[in-house]
Amino acid sequence: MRGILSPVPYSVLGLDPGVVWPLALAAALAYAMYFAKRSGLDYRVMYWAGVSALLGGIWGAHLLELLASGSVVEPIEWVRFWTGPKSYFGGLAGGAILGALFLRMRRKPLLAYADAVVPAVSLGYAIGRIGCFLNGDDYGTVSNVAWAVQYPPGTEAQAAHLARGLISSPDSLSLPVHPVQLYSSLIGLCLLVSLSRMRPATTGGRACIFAMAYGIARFAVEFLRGDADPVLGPLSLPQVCSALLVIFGLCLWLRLRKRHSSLIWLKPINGTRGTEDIGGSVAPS
Amino acid sequence: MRLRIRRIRPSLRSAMRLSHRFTLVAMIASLLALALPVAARNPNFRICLRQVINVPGPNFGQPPTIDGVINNDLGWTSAFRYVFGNGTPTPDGVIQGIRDATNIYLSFEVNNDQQFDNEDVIVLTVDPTGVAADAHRIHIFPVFTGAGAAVTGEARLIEHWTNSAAWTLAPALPAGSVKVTAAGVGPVSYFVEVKLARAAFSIPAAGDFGMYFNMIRVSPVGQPIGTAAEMFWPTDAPPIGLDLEGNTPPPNTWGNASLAGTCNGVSIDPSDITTNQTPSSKIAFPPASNIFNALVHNNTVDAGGAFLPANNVSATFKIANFGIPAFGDWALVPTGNNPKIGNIPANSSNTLSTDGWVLTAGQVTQYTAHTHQCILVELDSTDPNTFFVQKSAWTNMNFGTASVADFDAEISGRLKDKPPGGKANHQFDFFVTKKESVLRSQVSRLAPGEGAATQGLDRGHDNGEVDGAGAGAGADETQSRETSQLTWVAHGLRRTGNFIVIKKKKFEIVDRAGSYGFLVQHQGKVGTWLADLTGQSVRKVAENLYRTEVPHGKALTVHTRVEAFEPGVTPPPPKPPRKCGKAKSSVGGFFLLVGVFGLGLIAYAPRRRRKNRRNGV
Repeated sequence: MRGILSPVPYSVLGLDPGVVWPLALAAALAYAMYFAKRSGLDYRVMYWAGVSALLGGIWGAHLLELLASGSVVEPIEWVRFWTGPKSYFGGLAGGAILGALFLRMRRKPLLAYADAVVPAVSLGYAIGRIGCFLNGDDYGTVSNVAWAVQYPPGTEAQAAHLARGLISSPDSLSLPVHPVQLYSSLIGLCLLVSLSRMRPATTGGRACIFAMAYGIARFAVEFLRGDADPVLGPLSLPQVCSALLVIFGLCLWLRLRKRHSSLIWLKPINGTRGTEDIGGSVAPS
Repeated sequence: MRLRIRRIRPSLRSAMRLSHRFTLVAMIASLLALALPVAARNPNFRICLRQVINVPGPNFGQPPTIDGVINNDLGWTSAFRYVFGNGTPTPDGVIQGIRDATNIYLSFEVNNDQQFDNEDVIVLTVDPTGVAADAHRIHIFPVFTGAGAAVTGEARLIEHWTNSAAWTLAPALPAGSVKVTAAGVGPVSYFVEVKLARAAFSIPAAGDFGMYFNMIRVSPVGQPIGTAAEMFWPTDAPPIGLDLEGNTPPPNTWGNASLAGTCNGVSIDPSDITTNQTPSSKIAFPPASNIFNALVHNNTVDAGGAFLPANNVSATFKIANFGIPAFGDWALVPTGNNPKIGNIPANSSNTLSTDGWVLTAGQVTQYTAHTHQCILVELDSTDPNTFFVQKSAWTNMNFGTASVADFDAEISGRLKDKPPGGKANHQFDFFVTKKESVLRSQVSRLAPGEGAATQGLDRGHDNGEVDGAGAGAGADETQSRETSQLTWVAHGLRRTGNFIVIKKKKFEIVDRAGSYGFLVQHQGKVGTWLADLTGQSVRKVAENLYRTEVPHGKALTVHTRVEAFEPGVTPPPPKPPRKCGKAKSSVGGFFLLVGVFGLGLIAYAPRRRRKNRRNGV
């Protein structure tokens, strides 16, 4: 790959980073609506929840990036979410909060919709990371693997290598780096396929698995990030957020499992215990 | 009847006489035409090389020593001096000239160069008689790439031509005619002293002769190709451009020099411009008033060497937002006595000041976002006997105190010329120079019944060396207090899209757009100063070199943050900018809106609504 994609082009088939991310968000919304309908949910509610989540996500991404950068900005900059860089975890958190608020207002089952939306989030992530790859953002560590890529002048990777003295000429390509954005995209695709095909034991199970799987994968991939900035010991901010996400997913899964178990024992169905399929495997008594 | 027309034919001899006369007259006229200059030189630019005086003492009347050392050489006292200013205390270039009975002496000082290069060159032309064959052109390549001046002081290469109609290589200059020294490690400076024998160059003792200088400062840093900044006099002349050897401006664009007549004149320096505020660049809001001052110098002398006063000198004060202003950005300071008119006594200076300017409510709103301003002073006079050496100067320095100091500067794209190549944006390079120094003050401890006294500052040397402490003022104990100072200056260069070839190397010509900077002080010692230039579209292309683009007709604000870290404190590593999702937000936003809207249409399409109603959804 180093021979084909060095230097990494700014656009492919007419798609440049400015187009890829919105495409990812729109594709995620469309898939969420489709999956909601497939799951028997109201896809129009999913549409509006998705729009709310989009707004909350973009603003959350903007806010977390401002906080993480530590730069002093004018108060108006906190509101101008349409400018400046974005943080994925901020987007995830902001989108989840606003989407959940919307569903609460409409008195819809939160976990059911969460289960329906996580494959869409994975799809959006997979497509969006391609935009990062083309733009040269969130680049990887220096590497000599056969598929390492090099970035041209004008990209974040090349500028960082120049600033650190790894390259001397402002016109030369960056050093070969891991295409860590493509690794992330692959993770997103794997999550999309597996979550779409999965039948969770309980409502909310798919969301828990997404939180744990994505958190672990992201934690691991962060070690290959060339622009990682430690904030807690050796851990970068995304790694800290990933760890929190894994913990959240684990806690939620344990809680759901406990509730599911108690439901089975407290609510026998049709006079039998544990034989009725209530959404998952139950050991027959 | 046949009409006969009689023609009176001159005799053959008469006809020959007439034709001979005509031929003779034509020949004389041609000879005269060849001897006369094609056109007069630029009349607006005139310098006078006055007789060396030196200073009273054993060296009185001694000319400068040609050794490449200009500073502290008293032979340059009262020399003609032309400064290529940039708004900061270190100008980009300075030319001086003086003469004695045998020679004319010229000095060239080039500062703020990114590095020494073989292609750095000084062009000097002399047109003593107005006849093309008598004109001289000298190219001096003073320094060696990366190394600076030769230990012997000899220039790397000197080339000498004659005949401005078709420049022809001429014999080399005599040994010792040119000496060079150099200093600095990025930025660098070099100093060239030149001695030309008046007889060898046919310099007339009376009357004007033509002269032209050009100091070309090149830098290979800042690819795709290196840059070349030309500093030339007369400033009206066209730049050399294209090819160094093939494109010397014609003699009719050169200025006038003279060894006699009125010499020197009125001048002003950036450091002569002050206000009643601290720092001088600051605009104070009501009820405070802002007074602008210009200290104007006059060293005009007549043919006999007697100093002359300069009358009716007017100083016009203008301001523009701190940074790199364009020509049209300068606005007259709206106050009384602007311009201020006054007389400058002979061999003296005088301060011309405006009335106090108290901002109106509208002006407060206008200047709230730009409390620091560049100040330009333009001199003029209605007296035809008042001559100017430096008609304008501008100051562009700010001041701050650390541990952390933040500065904003405005880079103006409101230029007359559009960007080259039909582009929408002007491309600016910024070469940053930094100088660290330590100032030491002494504070006397209070003795019983005495007041505290503070002795003046012993100015430290560059790079942290400190003078020895001065004596106290008779107090019981004195304490030494150190103040660390950083002088940070950004030199703006605007790419023009034009090129010059020097010794087969191509450079893009850049306009010197001006410089801005600030002094930051920190009480106590500083181990590390961190300063970085940031802003939308600003990117670092090399050590101390930044590049940005400014749309034509608009301005860009850039930001500099300076942090002082005391010894033993490790500054944090630089944070790489995180930009994921930043590219082309406006285009992306449009696509997102279209996508979301489209999905909404799909969700609420009429046929689905009816079907859903039927299904009870």
